[in-house]
Formats: sequence, C-alpha cells, structure tokens
Amino acid sequence: MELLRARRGLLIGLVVLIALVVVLFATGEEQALVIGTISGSAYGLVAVGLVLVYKSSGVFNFAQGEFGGVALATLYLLDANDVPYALAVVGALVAAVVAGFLTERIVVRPLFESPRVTLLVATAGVALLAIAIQVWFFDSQGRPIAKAFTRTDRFSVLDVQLSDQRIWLIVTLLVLAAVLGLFFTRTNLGLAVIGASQEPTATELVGISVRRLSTFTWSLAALLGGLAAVIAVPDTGSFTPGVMTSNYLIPAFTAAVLGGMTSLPGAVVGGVLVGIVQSYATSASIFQDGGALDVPGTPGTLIVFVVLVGVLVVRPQGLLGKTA
Amino acid sequence: MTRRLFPVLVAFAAVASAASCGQKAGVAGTGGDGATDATDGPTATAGPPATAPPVGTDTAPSGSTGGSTPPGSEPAGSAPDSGGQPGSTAPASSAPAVAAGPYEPDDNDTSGVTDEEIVIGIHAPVTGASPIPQTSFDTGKDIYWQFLADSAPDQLFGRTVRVVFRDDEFNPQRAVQVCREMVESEGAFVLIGAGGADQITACAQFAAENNVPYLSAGVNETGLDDLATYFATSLTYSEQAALIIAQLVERELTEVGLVVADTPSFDDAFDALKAAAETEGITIAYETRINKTAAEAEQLSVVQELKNTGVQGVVLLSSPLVFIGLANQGVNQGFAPTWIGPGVTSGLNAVTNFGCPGVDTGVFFNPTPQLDVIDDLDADFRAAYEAFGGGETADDIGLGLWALNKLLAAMFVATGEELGRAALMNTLVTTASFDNGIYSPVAFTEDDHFGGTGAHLLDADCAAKTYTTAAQFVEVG
Repeated sequence: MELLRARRGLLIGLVVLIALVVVLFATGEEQALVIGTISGSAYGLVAVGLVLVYKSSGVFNFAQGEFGGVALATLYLLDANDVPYALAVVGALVAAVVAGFLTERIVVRPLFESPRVTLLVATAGVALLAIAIQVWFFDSQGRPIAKAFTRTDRFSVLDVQLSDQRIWLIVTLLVLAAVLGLFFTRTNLGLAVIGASQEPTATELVGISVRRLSTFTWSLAALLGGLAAVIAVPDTGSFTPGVMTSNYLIPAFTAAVLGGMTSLPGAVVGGVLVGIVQSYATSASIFQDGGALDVPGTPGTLIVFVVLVGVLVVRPQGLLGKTA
Repeated sequence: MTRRLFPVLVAFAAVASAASCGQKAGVAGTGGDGATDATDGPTATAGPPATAPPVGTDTAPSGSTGGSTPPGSEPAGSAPDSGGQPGSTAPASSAPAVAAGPYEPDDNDTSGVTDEEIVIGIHAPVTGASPIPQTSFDTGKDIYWQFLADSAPDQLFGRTVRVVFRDDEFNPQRAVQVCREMVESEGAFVLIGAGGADQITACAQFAAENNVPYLSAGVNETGLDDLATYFATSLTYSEQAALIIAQLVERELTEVGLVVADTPSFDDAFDALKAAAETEGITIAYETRINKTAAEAEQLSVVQELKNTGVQGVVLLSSPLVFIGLANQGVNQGFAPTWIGPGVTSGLNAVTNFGCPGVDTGVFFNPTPQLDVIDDLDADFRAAYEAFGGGETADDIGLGLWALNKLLAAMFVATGEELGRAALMNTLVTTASFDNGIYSPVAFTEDDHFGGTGAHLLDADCAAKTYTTAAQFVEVG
C-alpha cells in the first residue's frame, strides 16, 4: 500500500498514457504518437535542463530556451564560415555552456541569497537580453540553417517517416535521461548537487562548495538547451531569434510541470506527452472547423496551456515529482 | 508548489510575448512612435508648368517592349497615346484637368506635397514573416523615382519623390503605428503597403479614417471593401482563386489540400478557393486553417495529414516562413506536392534561397513577373539599378517596388499638377485604366477599388535557386 502511494504519480502517468494511446488508435490519430514523440523529444530536452536548475537551486530558469538560441546563432555563424559541421556543433554547444556559465556568474551568483522570485525575474531578463542580442546580429530575420543528417527516409513508424536527424534527437534524449538519472543517483557529484539543493548549509558543512556546484549545474543545463536547439531546430530548415523561447520553452515548461519539476525522467515523459497531446489537438477533426471542440486560434497551442493549468490545479506535484 | 508556479506563469507570459516580439523586432523604423498631432504639410501651390506629357501606354498586357516606359495612363474615353522617351523633350502639354469625382478635399488634402516634393510612405513586413533582405528594400524603394528625376525631370511637374520606408514587423498594431508615424511625422501624402494582409488591412483602415490614399497589391477583400481611400493594384486573393483552380485543372490535380493561415483577413479567400474548386470539380480532400506563425509541431502534423490524404497539390495561403516550414517538413516526410497559391511574397527569390529544396514544387501567382522576363517588359529596370543602385544587383524585391512606384507615377501624372489627395483618388476612379507594362492593367471604378485584372505565374527552380516566370499576364476569365 505504501509502495502504491509512493508510485501513485507513476501509475497516473501510465493510465494517462494508455488512455491516450487507446483514444489515438480509436480515433485514427495514432500518427500523433510518432509526431508527438518527435516534437516532444525536443521539449523533453529543454525540460530536463529546466528541472536540473530547479532541482539544484529552486529557480525557474526562463533563460533555458535562449541557451539554445545562443547555440543556434553560433552554429549558423560557424557553418556559414565553412567550419566543418561537427566542429560547428561542438562550437555551438561550447557557446551555450559559456552562456550558462556567464549567467550563473554574473546574474545568479550575486543574487544567490535573494528570494527565488528575484532570480526568476533575473533569468527572464537574461532571456530578453539574449533575444535582443540575436536580433541585433540577425535583424530578426529568419535564417537558413543546415542540419547534420540529410537522409529523411531511414524508416517509417505508423507511416510517419523518421529522418536521421529526428532519430538523433530521440536517441539523445533517451541517452541523456539515462545518463543523468545515473549521475544523480550513483555519483558523488550528482548526489552533491541534490544535497546542495535540499540542504545547502549541511552541504557546505561537509566541505562541498554550493556555489561551484551551482556553476556546474547551470553550465550543464545550458548544454542541454544547446543540444535541443542544434538537433531539433535545423530539422525545420531555419531559425529566427527567440525561436527557442517562443516555440519550445512553454511546452518544455509544461512538460517539466507535468513531470513534477524535480524529476528528470518526469521531464522526459512530460515532454513526450505534451508533444503527443499537441499533435493530436492539431490534427484531430474534433478540434477542426466544425468539430465539437472547434475553438478560435490554433488548438495545438491552446492545448498546451490547458494541460499546464490542469496539472497545476489537479496535481501540482506532477506525475513523478515529490512535494518538498 | 501551485502557489509558486502561478507567479511564474505571469512572468512566463511576459517572456514568451517578448520572444514573439523578438522575432519581429524592428530594425528599420526610426524615430518615435509618431503619436504626435497631425501636422499639415506645406500646401502645394502652382508648380512649374508641365513639360513632359503623361505618356499613355497601350493597355495591351504585354506592355511596351524594350524601350523606356515612363508612367502612363489612359484617361477614360481617350485613345492611348504613343510612348515617349523619359527625359525627352516631348512637346509640352497642359496638365490634365483635375478630375471631378466623389472625393472632396479636406484640410490635409495636400499634406506631403510641395512644389518640389511628394512624400510617399511604404511599409512592409521586412521582419517576422519572410526572409527578405533589408538591403533590398533600402536600395529598391526609390530607384524608380531617381530614374524618373534623372530621365524625365518634368514628368511630375518639377517635383521629386521622397520615399519613407518602415518595417511593420508582420504585426498589425505595429503597422498602424508606422503608418501613423509616416503620415503625421514624415508627412506622407500617400501610403503603400508592400505586403502582409493583416498589416495592410490595419494600415488601410487607419488611412481611411484620415482620408489618406492607400495602395497595395491585392490581398484580402474583407475589411478593405468598404474603405473609401483603399485601392488594390493587383488581383485580390479571392480574385486569384479562379486562376489557381484553373492551374490545378491544367495540371490535372483533381484532389488537393487547402491550407490557409488562421486570420480573419483570409476568410474571404478561403471561401473563394473552396467555391472555385467546387465549380471546377476539384475535390478538397483536406482543409485546415494553420497558425499564422505555425511552429514545427503544427507544421509536421499538417504535412502528415496532407500526406495521408494522398493529394498531389496543396493550395496554400500563408506567410513565406510557414510555406518554407511546411515544404521542408514535406521533404522530411517524402511528400512533395505542388504548392500553389496567391501571394506577394511567397514568390520571391529569397524564399528559394532560403527554402530549397523543399520549395522546389512551389508555384505562385504574383503581381510582377520574375527577373527572367523583365528585360522584355521594361528595359529601364536593370539600367536604372546600375545607375542608381549603389552597386547592388537588381533583384525581384526591387522589381516589385519599381513596378509599384511606376504605377504610382502614372497616377500622379494623370492627376496633374494640382496634386491633392482628393484629386488623386478622383483620378483613380475616373481613369479607365493604368498600365505600367509590368502589372496587368489596373482599373478602378467608384464602386470597385480592387483594380487588378491579371497576374503572373511564378515557378520555383531550386537548381537555380530562383523563381522563373511560367506565364505572363494571366487574366481572370
């Protein structure tokens, strides 16, 4: 019984997933499973970064998307200057990490003792600044961006073609989720990060620098944001300044909340679930013109907010989160 | 946790909103918001006598070939004149009499017009909707006027034209702001919308409230059809429906998808396309209204739905960025239908530069042809770019601006020396047609301000990364 109570979120998640799968197959919208997994993987990657920062410092990091924006801009510039693509990707990830590092050093650390809401607003400022800098460089025009893999017909699932780039995205998400899961449960550094978030004073007392851990966590979160950006966005062929915040941050935030804000696997599952629901809302006839749930605007966008508010009202701790 | 998350949501909305704005942030606008009181421009007094006649052009759609083609108009009921050479010392003629008509001058009738200068204001979504190079607008906005001042300095009764240009950022509110700024701060005599239906509609409504003539390429009809000062210089999207469906018939595409951006401005085009398809027996196997700024997830879902229906053609009315996104998602899904639609910006070479290989199967109707045929229609265009382009190569954005300005020049000439807003609009609705040799002839009446009569069909060629002109002067009916 105790185990059941502890795993209630997991069970709810499973029930929701099964119900979703049944509905999708029953309504002939099963392709939303694949499409949603593709787009949801990117949300998941961004969400894992959000959770990482929240776990370690209790801050909702609004700049998470724009760490990816920095990576995209760098990838574009390096690729445009004929740097080999693999090196350009590495350079882009380094730029993202540097952005995360500088954010922690210049913005987060001086405000470390401030209320969390102050830090929250500060990260929003970082996001706005990053977007402004991108606009300054790129005139807020869309720019073409090359992708790493061009083969688009590796195989199909439910008649949805999976390109190599998309496979890369999904595999990256799964591998990172597993690696980070092990990192936070099996390594001293991972346990120290968790310890610093839950008992910072005790962590300092045993000789671990909470501030250094903070630098590490922000840099790692920025790396995840950068990874999401350099894998997911080039698949669309273009990027615009602010695209990571406007197109990915809200679904990722929803994914993190759905997963429980403190759970890395929860963020991954939440990302995929949000992607599936969003895809279903976009394609299902019930949401289309003349359908029973036809609403003005775009249902795929609206449904993300509905899920977000619904989770906050019904189960604020999410599926796999723990109430602190 | 709930209590902590609700303030977060508020902040979140602010950041997300800023991100959207970030995509559209202005780079071209100057000055403040223009929210100053209207200031009357200097009142035009008697200008210098006209020394160059308004050159009538034949209303044949092929226009004049090769030679210089100064602006022309065909006054109602008059025979077309023969063309003259810009800068030539053609016999002077008296200025046309000010046309009588339904428009009465108000206190600001001659704002933006002096003995020496006419100020025109142009706005376009340089950012936010399409990958349009800013430099193309900067270079192309007044090349025609420089050419005219150089080759036929008396054509506009001794006046030169100063162009004020603003980026409306693909945002209707911003469009109204920049239009107000151009009229009230810069003293624009007339406003021109170079693209973007919602922005054109918003700005045209502002112009109508202030009795400012407003011209644009044809877009939607809803929201514009009752505006006294609005004039469409090419076919509206609804009017192009018949051309698009005729193309589908010609290409034997009997089952198609219909994807139209989700904005009320496109409701009339959406209905017109469906009606035209039904008339011609074309089946619309899938239809949807897509977000104006659809993100990857929505694009992918829509493309998958289209692919599932097995259609070989998709009628599309959206921004170029959404077109590029859909086309690239199509490539990822091994789905390459003919993307066909109306539009002003989807047929730009910037779209092929940016969107190939996905956009390779795109064909779009456009007010202007592409650069591959322009030398046959207007030999002055490239020469003028060489002379006044500051080293920039002539491009299709410049061509669009050239054609629009050339048409406007014909309207100014037809109005005559006593140029005022009411006189200009009276001239528009009482002149049989205007022909710049690049557009199909443009003809307005008092009751019909949608003046387009035809369009050019452009076909994407990703091997060359350009659009080519597949058909010229395709006319309705």
